[in-house]
Amino acid sequence: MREVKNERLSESYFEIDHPSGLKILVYPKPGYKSAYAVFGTRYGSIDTQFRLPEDKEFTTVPEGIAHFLEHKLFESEELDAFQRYAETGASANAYTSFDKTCYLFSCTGNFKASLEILLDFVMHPYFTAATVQKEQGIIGQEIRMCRDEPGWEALFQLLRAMYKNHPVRIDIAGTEESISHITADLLYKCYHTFYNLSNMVLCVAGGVTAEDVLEVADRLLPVQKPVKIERKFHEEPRGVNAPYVEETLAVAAPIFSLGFKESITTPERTLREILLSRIVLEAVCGKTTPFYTELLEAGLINTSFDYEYFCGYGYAATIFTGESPDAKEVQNRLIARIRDLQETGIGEADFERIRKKLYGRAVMAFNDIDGIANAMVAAHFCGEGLFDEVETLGALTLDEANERLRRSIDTTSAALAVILPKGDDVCNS
Amino acid sequence: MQTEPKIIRIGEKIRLLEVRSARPKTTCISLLLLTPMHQNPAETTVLASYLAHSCARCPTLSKLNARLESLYGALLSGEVSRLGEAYCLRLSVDCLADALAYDGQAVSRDALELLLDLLLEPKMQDGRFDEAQLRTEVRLCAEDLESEQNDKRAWALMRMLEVMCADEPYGYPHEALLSGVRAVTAESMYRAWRELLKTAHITVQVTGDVDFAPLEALVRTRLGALADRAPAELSTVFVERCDDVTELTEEQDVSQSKLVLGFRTGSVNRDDDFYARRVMADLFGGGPYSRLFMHVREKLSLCYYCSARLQRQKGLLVVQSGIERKNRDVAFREILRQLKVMQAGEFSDEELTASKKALCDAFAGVGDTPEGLDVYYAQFADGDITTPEALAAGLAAVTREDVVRAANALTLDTVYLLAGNDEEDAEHA
Repeated sequence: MREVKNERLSESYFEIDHPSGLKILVYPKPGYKSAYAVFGTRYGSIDTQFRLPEDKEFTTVPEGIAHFLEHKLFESEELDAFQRYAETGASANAYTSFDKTCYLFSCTGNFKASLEILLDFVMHPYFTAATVQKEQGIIGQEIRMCRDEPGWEALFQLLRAMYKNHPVRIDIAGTEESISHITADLLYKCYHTFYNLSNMVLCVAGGVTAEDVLEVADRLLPVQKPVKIERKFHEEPRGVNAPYVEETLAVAAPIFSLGFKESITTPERTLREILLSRIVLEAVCGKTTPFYTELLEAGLINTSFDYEYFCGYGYAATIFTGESPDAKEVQNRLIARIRDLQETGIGEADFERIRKKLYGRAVMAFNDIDGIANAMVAAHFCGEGLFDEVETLGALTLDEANERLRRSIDTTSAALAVILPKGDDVCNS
Repeated sequence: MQTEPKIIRIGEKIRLLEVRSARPKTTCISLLLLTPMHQNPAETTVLASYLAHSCARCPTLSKLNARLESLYGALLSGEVSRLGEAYCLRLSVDCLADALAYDGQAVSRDALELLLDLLLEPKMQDGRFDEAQLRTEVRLCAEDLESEQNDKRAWALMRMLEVMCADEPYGYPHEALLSGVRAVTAESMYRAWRELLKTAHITVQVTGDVDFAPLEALVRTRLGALADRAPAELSTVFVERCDDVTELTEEQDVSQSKLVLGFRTGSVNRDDDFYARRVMADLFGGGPYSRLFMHVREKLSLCYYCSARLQRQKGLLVVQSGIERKNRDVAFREILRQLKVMQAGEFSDEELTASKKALCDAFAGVGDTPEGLDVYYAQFADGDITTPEALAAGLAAVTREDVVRAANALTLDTVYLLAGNDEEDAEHA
């Protein structure tokens, strides 16, 4: 057990290499009544093709299976996990993203009993043909619900426009068609590949101690032989798949998602690169910039305008989203703005102000035990420590930011997705 | 942890709530101003946006955001919400805890000063609100209101409430608000702002680990000096029961239909039999142990979500579900069947215990962070406060008889269906 400390924040957490093969991170928050635990596996919607050392060929599984597996893991032959949590009073949930699946709970009392449920149900899959079929109806409705969410639709339209091969282009929940091919056997295959403790992490934050966590983990976790998972690396062309796509939905005004695809030679971005990209984005079109005010006053954007640096295994892009009567004009102005700034560079005062803001936001996040536990999961899967962000921020230089601005955003690799309103389709009956 | 706030009377219906929270990373400060819903609804809506985007000292968005960034990226928000039939205009800042500022800045005092500037010294030209900014804010608010139709779940709920409460201030139509917003002028907004400062019930909430004395002095100087105070009377119409059900179906070109049921709870004010009703609503359609989740979702696989929520300040209970259109009748019948089960007391002791445990568990953790306490106490801006501990104790004392009584007090008022276009693939189930 190793204590990781940060003097600046006067905070610390414990890192444990558990004999079972699982990495455990515990962040005690003395004085907190609540605790939050998350048990995550590095397995998400992009993991559609993989191979174990004993396999000859890559296994290809249906789109949406990681998310389907997340739903099904809550069931067992006897009581399902939700019924068991009902006895402890914990509030439980789970989520699947592009690159991970996480099971979590928050509670104020009965922490050990709830942790026992979490570790137990995630370690004991139970899938049958009947239970798989039942879930297809529920997830089918979840997929339809998302199809009506214009922001979500715009993002996936954009990802399909940017990426030709990489599975980040597929919907996290798959489609009603793809999930109809999921069987109990396929779920077991994925489970036994990705739910190996060496591919997972347990993170806990709140009013608990490392001893509390270890007492339960020692009792429940078997020693597992680590697996070596080979993920298929998807060759992705340099340019975008399509520069412009559109779709109509029952929305009030056009919604856009604009992306600049980054050309990458290694699958993952470092924390330093990610933080620099965030600074670059703030400098390009943060609310403090005259450029943002211009777009707002010209009626081209409204308060829904947002931006993010979007990256994961094998993909990286700078994305802008919002509502606009003229998304193409927003694109033109953003391209001109980026080229201009690439030419002139970010100024020293702007850089310091943005850095101060990002530092404040990073520190403020240490109140929130949900945020801490989830950030520990993300940092672990990226091979970083939780405090690295605050420390790295302090060490970034203006030159690095300008270098990042010039190299990471290729204004010739842009894709624009627009959701247009349908005709007058609201009527009473 | 001590979460009993100190309440300090500043003036006629002006109070300061000091809430101490141990060793947080943030301080949360909120100004809450309550006025009757019928008093300038459109102007109040635009005002929240105008006040949150500028003030005399920071007259442009760029200057205001630069100020926030220099306060370590303090998060500012301005919004209007409903608390029963009152509008609550809220200006709030989450900022870095004073002790963590690396340059010794008194962040909380600066943040409070900024909030008071925003409210009391707005950007004016020749005694009027700035015309150019006003036009932008009107556009932003109108687009914000229009885009509410993009969230189909929220839209269906809003339409149901408009129909159900058509004869009460609560049912003030979205369309009327939208056209009112478009018609706001610099004069009407100035009058509304004067009226707000004169008539609103004002609560200032400060939550964190700060030296409260300078903050209290600042509130006394700035708000204590408000002249001609004449606080408006706040009241909400409570309809105890309904004897004939209204049904309405509206068509939209969406993938998933939304079924919304509105019930009257039988209460005559926000505190009337509250604890019993809160547990009843949770057992009926709160967590995954609830009747609606277990039966409508899990047993019948009809939906991804089916929930019941109590609207305490208006005496309503709302059931929402996303379904296929052809399943409308079967879902409706099952929801009512589960209500009958509740009314007959045919739920198990385990279910009741699970619900109480989950609710108490959730409230017990509220005091851990300033953010949690800030949101929690804001719901009491219309009157007496209850601490999370007292609330949890009240819920823990609820009996089976209490729940049955609360369930039997429910009467169905309105059934609304936002009907989608899923007829063509009706064979999929």
